[in-house]
Amino acid sequence: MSFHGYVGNILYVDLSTKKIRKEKLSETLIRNYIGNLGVNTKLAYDLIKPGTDALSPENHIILGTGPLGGTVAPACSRSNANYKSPLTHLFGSANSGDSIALMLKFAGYDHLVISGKAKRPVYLKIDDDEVQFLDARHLWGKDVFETTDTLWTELGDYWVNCIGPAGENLVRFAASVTNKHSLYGRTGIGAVMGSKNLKAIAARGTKGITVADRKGFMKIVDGLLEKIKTSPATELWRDFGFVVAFPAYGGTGLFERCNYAEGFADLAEAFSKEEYKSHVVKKAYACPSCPVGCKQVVEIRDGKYAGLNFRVAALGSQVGYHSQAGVENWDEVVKCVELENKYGLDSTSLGSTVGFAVELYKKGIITKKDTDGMVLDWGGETTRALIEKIVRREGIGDILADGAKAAAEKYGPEAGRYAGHMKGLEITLGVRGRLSTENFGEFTNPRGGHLERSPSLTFVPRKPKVFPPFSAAIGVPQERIEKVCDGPEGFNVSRLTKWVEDYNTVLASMGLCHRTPVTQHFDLQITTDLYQAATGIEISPGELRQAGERIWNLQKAFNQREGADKKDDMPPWRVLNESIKIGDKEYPPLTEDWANKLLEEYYEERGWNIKEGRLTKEKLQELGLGDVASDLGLG
Amino acid sequence: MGLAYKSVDERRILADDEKCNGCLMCQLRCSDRFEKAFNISRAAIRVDRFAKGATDFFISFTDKCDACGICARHCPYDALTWLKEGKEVT
Repeated sequence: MSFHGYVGNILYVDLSTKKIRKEKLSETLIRNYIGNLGVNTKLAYDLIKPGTDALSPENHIILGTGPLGGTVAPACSRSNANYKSPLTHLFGSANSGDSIALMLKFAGYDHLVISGKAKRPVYLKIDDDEVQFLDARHLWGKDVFETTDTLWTELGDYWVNCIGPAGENLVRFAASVTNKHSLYGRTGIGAVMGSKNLKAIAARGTKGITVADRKGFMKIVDGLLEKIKTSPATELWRDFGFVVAFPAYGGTGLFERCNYAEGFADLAEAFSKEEYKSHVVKKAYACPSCPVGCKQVVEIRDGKYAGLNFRVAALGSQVGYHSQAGVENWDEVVKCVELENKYGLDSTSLGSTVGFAVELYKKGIITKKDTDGMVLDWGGETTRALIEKIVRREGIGDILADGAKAAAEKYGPEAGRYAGHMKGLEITLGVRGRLSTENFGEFTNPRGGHLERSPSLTFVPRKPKVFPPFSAAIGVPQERIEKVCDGPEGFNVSRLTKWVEDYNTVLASMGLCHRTPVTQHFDLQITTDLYQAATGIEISPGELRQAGERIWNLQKAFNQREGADKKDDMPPWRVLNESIKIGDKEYPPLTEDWANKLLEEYYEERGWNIKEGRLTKEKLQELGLGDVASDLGLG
Repeated sequence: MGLAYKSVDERRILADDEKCNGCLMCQLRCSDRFEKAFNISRAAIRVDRFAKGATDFFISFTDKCDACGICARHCPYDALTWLKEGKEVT
C-alpha cells in the first residue's frame, strides 16, 4: 500500500548484533492501533516478554510519531517512547513534544525499535537510509548539554537525543533529552538506554510527508488554526504557560507540597505570574507545528542564578513537582530544572523522591547515619544536594536513585506510608481536595501515577450541563451518557475517566498535545476527519474510539501478565488515611472504602472484573484481542 | 534583534527573529508549496532552532525563495511580514 500521513516504515536496530532491519507498516496494524502510542503499545506487548528485566538486553525501546506528526496539523507532533519501565517494572511510557522521533519521521521511519546491548558505549546515527552504530566512548560521562554540543559540533545539523550521567548510572527515573530541552521524562527511559550502552540517537531526515486529500486536510487545519488564533486561552498560555492554571491547581488541591502532606492554596501568590514574566522567562517557544507555544526560554538576568539560560517545557508544572520537596521560589525551581535537564532526570519523580527523604528525616525514620551526615530540609538547597548524590548514586543517593517505592522498602514499613507513588511512579496531583478525571486517572493509568491520559473539562468545577455534550463529543455512546454524567458536579468521575482515557489515547496515538489551549478545539469527529484527510484511510469515529480502548486494554494486559491487579490501582497510604488542609479548609482522606467503590465503578465501565480489576475474556474478544485473552490464561 | 529579509520583484518578506517561537510552520508550509509534501529540509525559509544558544531562533532564506509570502501568511507568531509594493499584505 502507499502511505499518506504515515511514512510507512518501522526501523529495527539491535545493539548486540548490530543488525538493522526495516519493515513496512501494515494496514492491519495502523487500523487497529493508529500510530505513535498505539503502535508502540502493540510492538511493546509483542516484543517484550513477561518477566523481562527492564535493564537487560531483552528490553526494547520503541519510539514513534503519529500519522499527523510532521504535517501542519496544529500541535500534532508529539511522540511517545515505550519500554518496560525499570521504575515500575510495568508498561513504561514517556512522551515528548519536540522529540527525536519527529526527525526520524522525516528520515523515513514512523517507529524505531531498539533492542540488545552494545559491548561499549555507542550512539546511533541515522541519516535518512543510512543507519550507523558509532563509538560513544568520548561522550560517556558527559552531561546532556555537553553531549549535545559535542554531537552538533561533530555532525552539524542533526537532532540529538541523549542521556546524561543519570541514565549512565541507571537512575531508575532517568530521562532522555532531545536537543537539550525536550524530555522523555517519566518511567525511566534514560536508565534503559544506559543499560544498553546507548548514549544518544542523532538523526537527520530529508524526506517528505504527504497527505491523501491535500485540499480537505488544509481546510480542516486552517479551521483549527483560526479557532486557536482567536481563542483567549492561546495568548494566556503563550504569555504564562501552565502558570495560568495556578489559581485552579492551588485552590482545588491539585498541587500539594511537602511530600503530599499540605495543600498549596496560595500557589499563585507564592509563584506569581508577574515574577515569572519579569524575572524568569524571556519568551515562549513552540513545539513543531504548534500555534500556541506554551514552552519557555528561561533567562535569569539578576540574583543568585543570574546568567541561567536554557529552554524548558512547562515550567509551571515544574513548580508543582518541586513543591513536593518544598522548593521555595522561582529561582530555586529554575535552578533545579536546569540541573535535571543537564543530568537527564525526570523532575516529577525527583521532586517527590527528595520530598519523601526529607519527610523521613524530619520524622526520624532516617537519621544522619542514612544521609551521609547531611541535614535534610525542605527547599532548593537540599534538593540540589540530593540531585548530585542521586545522579552519581553516592551514599543516600544510591537508594533514592531507585525511586520512592524501592527506597521505602529499604527504610521499613513506616516509610512506606509516605511514599507518594502509584505502581512505583511518583504521582503528580493531589486528590483529596476534589476529584476529577485528571487526578483519578493517576490511579488507573497503566504507566503509573501520571495525569497525562486523563485531562478533561472536569479539572475545574463547571456547570453540570456542560458534561453531556462534552461526553458525546469525545465518543461516549448516547446510552451511557446518563450514567457517565451522573453526579453532583455533573459527572461520575470513575465512569467518565474510562471514556476520557480512551479518547486521549486516540489523541496521543495521533501525536496531539494534551494541553487545554489545543485540545479544547478538537473532538472525536474533527480528529477522525483530520486522520482520514491525512491518511486516506476510511474509518468511523466509533472505530477510532474503539482503537483507543483497544490500546488501553493492551497496556493493561502488559501489566496484568506482569502480575499487576487492583492493589496496584489503590492510591498511597497518605491519600487513604490522612486528611489535608487546603487554605482554611480541612479535607478528609479518600478512605479505602471510597477508593474501592470508585475503582469498582471504573472497572464496571471498562467491562473488567469488578472486584479484582482484571481484564475479561469478553471485553478482550470484543476488542479483537482474543489472542491476548489466551496469553492471560482466560481461555 | 535580527531582521532578515528577502526581496523579489515587488515582493518582500521581513523576518523578526525575536518574535519567532520556532514552530517551523513556515518551513512546513513553504515545503508543501514546492514539493507537495511537508519536508523542512526542502523549504526556502530556514529556521535555526538550536545551534546558536538557547534564547533565539534565526530565520534566513535560501536562493530558492521567491518571496511568495506563504510563510508569512501562516506564521502564528507574527514573526514574518509580507509586503507587496511596499504595503503589508495580511
